[in-house]
Amino acid sequence: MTGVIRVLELRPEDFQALGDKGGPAEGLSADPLNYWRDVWRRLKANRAAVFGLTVIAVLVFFALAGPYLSGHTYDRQDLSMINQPPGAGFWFGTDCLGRDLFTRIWYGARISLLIGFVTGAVCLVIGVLYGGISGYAGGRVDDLMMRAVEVLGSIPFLLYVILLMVLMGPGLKAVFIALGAVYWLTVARIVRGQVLALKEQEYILAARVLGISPWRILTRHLIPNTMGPILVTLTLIIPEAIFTEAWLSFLGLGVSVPKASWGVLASEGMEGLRNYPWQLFFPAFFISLTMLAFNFVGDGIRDALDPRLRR
Amino acid sequence: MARYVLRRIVTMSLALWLIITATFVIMHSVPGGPFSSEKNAPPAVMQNLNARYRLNDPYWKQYLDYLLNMARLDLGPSFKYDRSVNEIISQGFPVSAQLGAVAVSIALGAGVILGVAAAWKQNRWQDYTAMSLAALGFSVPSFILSGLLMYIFAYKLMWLPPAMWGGWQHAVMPALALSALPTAFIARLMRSSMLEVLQQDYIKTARAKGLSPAAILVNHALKNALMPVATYLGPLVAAVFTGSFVVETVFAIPGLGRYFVISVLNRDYTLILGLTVFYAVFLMLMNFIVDLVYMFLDPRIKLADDRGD
Amino acid sequence: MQPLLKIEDLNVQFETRAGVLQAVRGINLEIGPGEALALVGESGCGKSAAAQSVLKLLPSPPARITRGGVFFAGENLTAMSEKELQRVRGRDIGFIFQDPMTSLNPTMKVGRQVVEVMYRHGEKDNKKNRERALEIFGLVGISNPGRRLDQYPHQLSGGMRQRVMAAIALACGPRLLIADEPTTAVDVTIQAQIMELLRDLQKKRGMSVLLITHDLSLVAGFARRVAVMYAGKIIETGTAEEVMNSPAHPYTRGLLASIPRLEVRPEERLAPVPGRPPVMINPPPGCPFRPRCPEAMYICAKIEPGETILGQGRIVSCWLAHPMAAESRPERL
Repeated sequence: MTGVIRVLELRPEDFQALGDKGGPAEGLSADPLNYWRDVWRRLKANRAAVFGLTVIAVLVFFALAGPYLSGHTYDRQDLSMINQPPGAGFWFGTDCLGRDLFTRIWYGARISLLIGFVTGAVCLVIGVLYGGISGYAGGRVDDLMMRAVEVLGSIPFLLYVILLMVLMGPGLKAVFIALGAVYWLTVARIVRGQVLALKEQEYILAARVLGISPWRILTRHLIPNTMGPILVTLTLIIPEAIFTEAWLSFLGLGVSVPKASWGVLASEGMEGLRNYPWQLFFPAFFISLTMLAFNFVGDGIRDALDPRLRR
Repeated sequence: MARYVLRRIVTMSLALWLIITATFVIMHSVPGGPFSSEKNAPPAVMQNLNARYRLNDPYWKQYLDYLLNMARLDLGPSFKYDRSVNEIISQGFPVSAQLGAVAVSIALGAGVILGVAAAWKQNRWQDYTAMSLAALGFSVPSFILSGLLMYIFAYKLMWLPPAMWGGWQHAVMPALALSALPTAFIARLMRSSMLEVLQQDYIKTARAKGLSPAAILVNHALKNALMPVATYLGPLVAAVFTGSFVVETVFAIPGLGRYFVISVLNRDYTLILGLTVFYAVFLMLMNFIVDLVYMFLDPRIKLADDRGD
Repeated sequence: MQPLLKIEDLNVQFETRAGVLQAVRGINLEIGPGEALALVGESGCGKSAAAQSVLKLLPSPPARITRGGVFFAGENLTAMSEKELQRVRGRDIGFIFQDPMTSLNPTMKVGRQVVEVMYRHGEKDNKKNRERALEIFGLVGISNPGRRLDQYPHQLSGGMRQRVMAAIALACGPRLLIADEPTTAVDVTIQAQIMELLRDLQKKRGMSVLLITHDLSLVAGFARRVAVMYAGKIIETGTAEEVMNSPAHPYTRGLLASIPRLEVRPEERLAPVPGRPPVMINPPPGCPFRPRCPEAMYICAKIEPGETILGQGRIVSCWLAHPMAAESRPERL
């Protein structure tokens, strides 16, 4: 440093007082749009999450188009073609009634993915409304509503899913309601916590003082701010729902035949396991792949929302 | 502390009453009675059966009877089996409990080891291997894992018996299948908790003392990192037990889980009701015990109200 | 006299997502045997990073010592292997951290946390160690030491915890004690007690002390020499009297003005240096203190000032000390 100074030619003006000129420019503004753009950028940089998103996109595409690709239908039985191994005629082989497994797998994908997304949506609506109202109302209403959640939450939930399934009989609608009835509790808890925390913040206070209606505050201010944790919860609920439905179907409590979710296919595959293992392997592979993909996306979104958590 | 225990007991009792009532209502509102599978039975026989199981009483009376019996810990007779629900539980529970205990031990041991290794060697191959295993554990449902294990070890390699219950050989595959998901969960939990602990100030203090990495890990990091895992023990037991529905069905193991599934498929009212209540009480009690144990594990909670002078 | 601790042109960087943060930018310090030196500066000025780099306690990554070294009793600590360093830590150099609340293991009895150090550095008989711990607890002013040994940190008050930290640091009778903001996390009455304790220990045991603090008021009567740090550099050094009575750097003057004084009316008491310290990731050219400096000149925005030697061990890094500053701005004289 001293060397540098020696070659410099210092002039008296350099030693004039600087005054207020060139003071620090302080400005901190958090633009919500920028925040989500940042989240998206970080998500795109996460290879596992991109892999997960790609897999989900491919699965959705095949769920839509797959059943029409092989020329077979999901319920056509051909008793001369039972238990065929995978090959040119039947890409994934056939089952014990001679039905084409490729078509059935993608038909099953429709049902399984639909279950995941619809359950997610049901939980979202109920949970956000319940948690939002509870947190926003506060006081005794909040106390009562949360106590109800606590009681419901202490019930071992799978028992309760099974009971609901028994009550409504097997079928898609029953699965939606049974799963939605369970998972909304988590969403409600999260939303309520976030609402409580946000409610006291200044901009909400400002909105209240300005006389903006509670409904508008709830929908315009609070819910957008709780998006992050809700999104993470959703990426947990969707695979969990697919998982639970597969499990219920496996026990004979899910979707009824000849409709086939992946769980039903796996259950059927189990019976021929010793001699026709592909009947289990294909549904098993796609269930596991879906789980993996959603897990990766969920982790990715969590990391992208809060980079500090990343390790 | 006493207030907390009291509050928990009140919540649990409420939940229990809700479960009993809801189960009762659900069971009696399903279309088709318990004997609907015996459609060809003569009316006289139906009459006898209904009388024997008091199905002709008004609902409220059946409900009251049920609550009263419940208070006496009598869960009534099964519709389909010629045994009482209590008998079925006393036969099935030990089997499930053995299997569950093995699975919980595997999950705890393997999960903690994987999680610690992953955190200690963060972003190195140990971490990637452990977390890939955990991702697999999360993604492969237990019934599929059961199927794969059965195919490989029973049908192809023929090392283990494919089904039934007996010696230790029978427990290997079901215990593995049952422990996969909780192992994965504990491994992840342990990793993040360990990473959290490793950046605490007291770890820096330990380093400033000149302790070796091994001593820091064992004496300072491990116990503190295990705390969050301890809170997961309740849900862990629940996961293993509900997992046993599937695993016991796949491997034809005569445990409670299998009875439960069969009772649901059979519409065996009293058995469903009895097993649901039993499971609910068991799981809620486990959660409660785990919470209490946790409070004693962590000196900060345990001694919160007797701070020194 | 050979210094016990010698820090030579120490540079520490943190590799962050936002870029390379220059935490310590070439500092030089010497502490003789039995001497107490205070390193003063705001939080974020790099003083803790410097202190922890002495024993390489900063997690790496992200921290990295890029240049310079630390010599303890003639040995180069920076070049030592982790194993060799472990022998120095806790035995030759004791460390007291800022927050006794988080710096003690919450699930281990405090007695064991002290005994552990002695066990590590040689004495394997834990009965003896426990007796010594009892002694040290008495030495650092813990009342009822026998009972305290078997308590957990949360059962002790903040001041007690800091005394336990001191006991840990002193357990093996180190030659140098590094106290990193030892009084920041405790309340004012305890502060005085802790400083009293440190002064006492230093005098009685002939121990060298490196005191890291943001509070110049703690320095008087404790340290013989003071080094003021700003933005990773030492901007002024001198004896405590010199620095306190005739500060040469505007920043030091600002720090002195912010010391609460009893004779001043409450509303005038605190005049902290306005503004915030810069984040040293790709800093702009010029003096890092310039944006906050009430006496900044045009040159200050262009070139960072070098060191000007004012006297024996008295150095300042400021353009105001340049002879031309005095010529151009005669009103300052």
